[in-house]
Amino acid sequence: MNKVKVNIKINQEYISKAVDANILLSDFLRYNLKLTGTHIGCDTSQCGSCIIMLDDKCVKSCSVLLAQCNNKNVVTVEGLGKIDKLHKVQEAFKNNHGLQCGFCTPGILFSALELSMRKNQRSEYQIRKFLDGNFCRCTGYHNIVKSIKSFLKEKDLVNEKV
Amino acid sequence: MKKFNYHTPKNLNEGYELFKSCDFPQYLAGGMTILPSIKQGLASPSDLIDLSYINEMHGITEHTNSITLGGLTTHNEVAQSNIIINKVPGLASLASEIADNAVRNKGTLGGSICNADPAADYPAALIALNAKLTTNLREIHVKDFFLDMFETSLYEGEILKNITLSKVDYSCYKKFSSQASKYAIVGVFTSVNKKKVKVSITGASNKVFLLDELDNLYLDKAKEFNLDKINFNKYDINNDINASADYRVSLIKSLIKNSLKNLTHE
Ligand SMILES: Cc1cc2nc3c(=O)[nH]c(=O)nc-3n(C[C@H](O)[C@H](O)[C@H](O)COP(=O)(O)OP(=O)(O)OC[C@H]3O[C@@H](n4cnc5c(N)ncnc54)[C@H](O)[C@@H]3O)c2cc1C
Ligand code: FES
Ligand code: FES
Repeated sequence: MNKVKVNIKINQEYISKAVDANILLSDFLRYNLKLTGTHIGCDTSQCGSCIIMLDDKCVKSCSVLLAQCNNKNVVTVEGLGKIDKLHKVQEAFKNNHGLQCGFCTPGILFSALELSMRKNQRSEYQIRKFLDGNFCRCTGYHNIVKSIKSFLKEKDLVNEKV
Repeated sequence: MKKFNYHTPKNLNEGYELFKSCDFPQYLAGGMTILPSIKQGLASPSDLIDLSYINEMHGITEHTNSITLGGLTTHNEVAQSNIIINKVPGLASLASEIADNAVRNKGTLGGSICNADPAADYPAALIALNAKLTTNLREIHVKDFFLDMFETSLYEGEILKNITLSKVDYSCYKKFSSQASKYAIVGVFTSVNKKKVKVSITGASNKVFLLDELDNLYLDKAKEFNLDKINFNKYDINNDINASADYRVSLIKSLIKNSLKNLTHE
């Protein structure tokens, strides 16, 4: 198996490394970097708990090779906010009881963030449709949708001010 | 995961030559089918040849009567392209209903077509839009492309470069999907050009098919056509855990009616 040279930015840190061709991005994050906020919930690329941002787009890190990420920018949940200074989207989930066990939450936060970058996607129906591919086994989704609505509203207000 | 080598050719020729020089190579596009398959032990290539650095396989171009999409165009790029939204809205809506957002950010048009899953969405659009597929070696008309489930007329190592679709006056895709995967249990693509109809169906059989009975009928005739008269036996409709053949036939009829209903006689 050949080694592949990758230059990658993860949560603002540059990493330059020759890696095995068969390493999944999710495994690299979890086992090599100990960034265990990215979860693995399935073997079938369906659950969405491993979703991270790759160049500002949500991808399932369990289904991307690290080798495919050369010259790309990765953000994981560890790069969003800190315990004493949460990201707005995290705050919205905290305030609206948008999580119970929290297993699905990192993936859902990134879906919420990508949704917030889209124009004209604000209705409850559109939010629920956008969450196809993010499985939550606890909340029944109701408070997740509520959290995302509140985040989008706040974001619109901030945008209006700018 | 199984071990393999990884390559990044910069053009079609380099990719093709690499393919011929490896033991059991496979191309990698968005990876949304091949990587889950490798993880589950369903595929074990010796080499993965990543096509994503081949520039001529990217992008969407409009011509007078047609549109060309690079094989590497992602599902979300198709769904969000202004050209596609304005000129073939049925295709934009089809792409926006494939899988989920994270899969749509990676999965590609070319990958979906080459994989030829009988429940995939794009094949229906290709048939109803008279697609022409251009590879590194030749041009293939879509009617000669899909042979059976997961089987196409591509040669070993042949690379699908781009897909050219006819512009039509009206296009629409309606699907009834599996809730877990979003794959089509039945998907119906309807196109109308110069008042004539084409209807193709995916998900229902081992491969996508054109519904002969409605083909090239004028729109008003198609609307009046009694779908109960069609003998679906000849289309070998699937009977499986997702749906019985009878249920699929019933879905086909209602999705066609729904698609044609809102069209005027103009
Ligand atoms: C959870 C989930 C849900 C899904 N739901 C749907 C759905 O609802 N509808 C649907 O249609 N699909 C669905 N898919 C499949 C998805 O659309 C895939 O993206 C697509 O089938 C494969 O595209 P890819 O670019 O990821 O190809 P890859 O996985 O990279 O490649 C697939 C195969 O095609 C070959 N290949 C790829 N590109 C080329 C090329 N240009 N020339 C020659 N050979 C090539 C590869 O060698 C490989 O064998 C789903 C997938 C997942 C994981
Ligand atoms: S772990 Fe389930 S989609 Fe990635
Ligand atoms: S909060 Fe437990 S899975 Fe979503």
